[in-house]
Amino acid sequence: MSAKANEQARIIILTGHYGSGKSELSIQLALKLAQQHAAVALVDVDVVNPYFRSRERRALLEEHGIRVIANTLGVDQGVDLPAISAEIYAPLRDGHTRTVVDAGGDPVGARVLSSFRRLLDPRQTEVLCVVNAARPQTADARAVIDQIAAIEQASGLKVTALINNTHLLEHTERLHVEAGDDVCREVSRQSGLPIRYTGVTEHVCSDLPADLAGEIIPISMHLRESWMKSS
Amino acid sequence: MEKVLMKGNEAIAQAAIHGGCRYFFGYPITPQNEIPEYMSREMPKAGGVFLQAESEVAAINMVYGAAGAGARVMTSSSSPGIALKQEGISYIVGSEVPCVIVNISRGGPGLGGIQPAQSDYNQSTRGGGNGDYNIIVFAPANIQEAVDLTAEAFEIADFYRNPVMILGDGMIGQMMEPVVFHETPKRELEPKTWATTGTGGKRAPNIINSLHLDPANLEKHNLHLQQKYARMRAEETRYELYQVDDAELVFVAYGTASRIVRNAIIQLRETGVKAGMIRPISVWPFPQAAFDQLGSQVRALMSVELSCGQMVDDVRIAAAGRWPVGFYGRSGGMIPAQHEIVDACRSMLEEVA
Repeated sequence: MSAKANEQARIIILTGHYGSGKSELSIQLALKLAQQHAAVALVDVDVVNPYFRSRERRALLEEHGIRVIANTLGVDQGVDLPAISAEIYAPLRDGHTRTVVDAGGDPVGARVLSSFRRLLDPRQTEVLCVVNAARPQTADARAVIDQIAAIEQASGLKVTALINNTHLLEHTERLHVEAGDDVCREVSRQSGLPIRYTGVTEHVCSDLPADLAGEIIPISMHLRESWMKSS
Repeated sequence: MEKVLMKGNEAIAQAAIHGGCRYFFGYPITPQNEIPEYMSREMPKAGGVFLQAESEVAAINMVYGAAGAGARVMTSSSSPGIALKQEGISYIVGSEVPCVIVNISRGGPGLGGIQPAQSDYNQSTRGGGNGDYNIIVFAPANIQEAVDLTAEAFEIADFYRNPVMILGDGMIGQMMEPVVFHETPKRELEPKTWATTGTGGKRAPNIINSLHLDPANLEKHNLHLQQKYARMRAEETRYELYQVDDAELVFVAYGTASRIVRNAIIQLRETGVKAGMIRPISVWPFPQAAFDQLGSQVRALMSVELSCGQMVDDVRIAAAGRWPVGFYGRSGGMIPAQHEIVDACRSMLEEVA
């Protein structure tokens, strides 16, 4: 059921519930791709969240040679407009740039994807649904499957794989990752979707069961300031 | 899983339902939109009513009506939206009906911006409405505290027949943290015999009103309200003291600013500078009593705010000339870095040396 990352996929689209961890995962995946590929882009089309968007880490990403394309022209922070920069078509069309697309949360965030879905070659595109089972709206398999259906309907795209990204930020414990693994395996059993990755908050990486589904991606929190750690 | 990961706004909305809120009237504005969004989905499931009003003014007057009928009711908005509600808030206080108002504040003045700010301190603690009045204002510094205070706010509002405000800067609304929904502390509440629930032909009608044309009556009403505010000052003041026992410099900070200050204190102490913090949890009533507990080793106070300096006036009043009072703030949605606060502390201590 779990599978090795699809090496063919040039375009990786991250969808899911808001707060599932799409933006942190997008940054992580883009940084990972930049180690192996010359042309990498991160396309942030989040029109749902006003704060904590992957474009806020433009400087870090550009330092690693990643092209950052956001949805508002020239302003990365402080605007709340559903304006999509036409620049996003460039990496989707050029046939070679490895591209991570960070969609906004929920079906409402995924709707933006429908505007460029015709440009996407299904053989080159992976549509991942990020699952955080510690979020009350996606705490069980039924809720996740319903959410996938709603995202597919809004975006006109088919979700092709899952990411178990179950976490409680710095309060994450092994049991949370395991509980998310159970939920994702059940979703996988019912839907036939493979589990591509398990995102794991860095501090629990050393204490993980051996049989987690998918490739492990250690997550260091790029969007959380040090004072955001709960006291 | 008992602990769930929630965004501040969602958690506040859920906490309201948990605290017995069954009516929500609001109007969208960033960065609090997840509250009405959550309410629109979850309130009907709880058997309650969600209504998106045509404006903030309409929403607060719907709150006034529902509160007058004895309901547990809430509205939420952000800074300029709260400004629009001030007339309604003054009427609600004058009429002595309970409600909860959430302000997830952003930079101003005017439309300002959508990033977090604490420049609504004066608007919240002094009120933008007319008349001699006060509302209890709680300013949570993390999402768990926001949950606990929001749920309890309904009990407190009912107890005093007065609005309670939850004041969170945009960051408190937008950030995520794990939370647990505890049982809410209950108060002994009188039945709402004053509510306009229909006479059934058995009693004289109840009237919800803030109009008192006879000056002697209005003064009597005001004196009665003042007695309530005195009791709130005595019984509803909340604060946290952090490392003040040996502190030479005591910061005063609430909400998001207090989180950065806390880290700054840890850094300062690692380099031998003894700093501490008074963290108001209720910004009205302001925790005067906390200042009376400070020892003679304290050399200076410093208010740190996401504003150009508003709470600092209350700090000066509380200090009553006993200590010099400094200020450090950023505004417009800018958030001070830890090192800025560390530097501000060092220069203040040099100044008073």
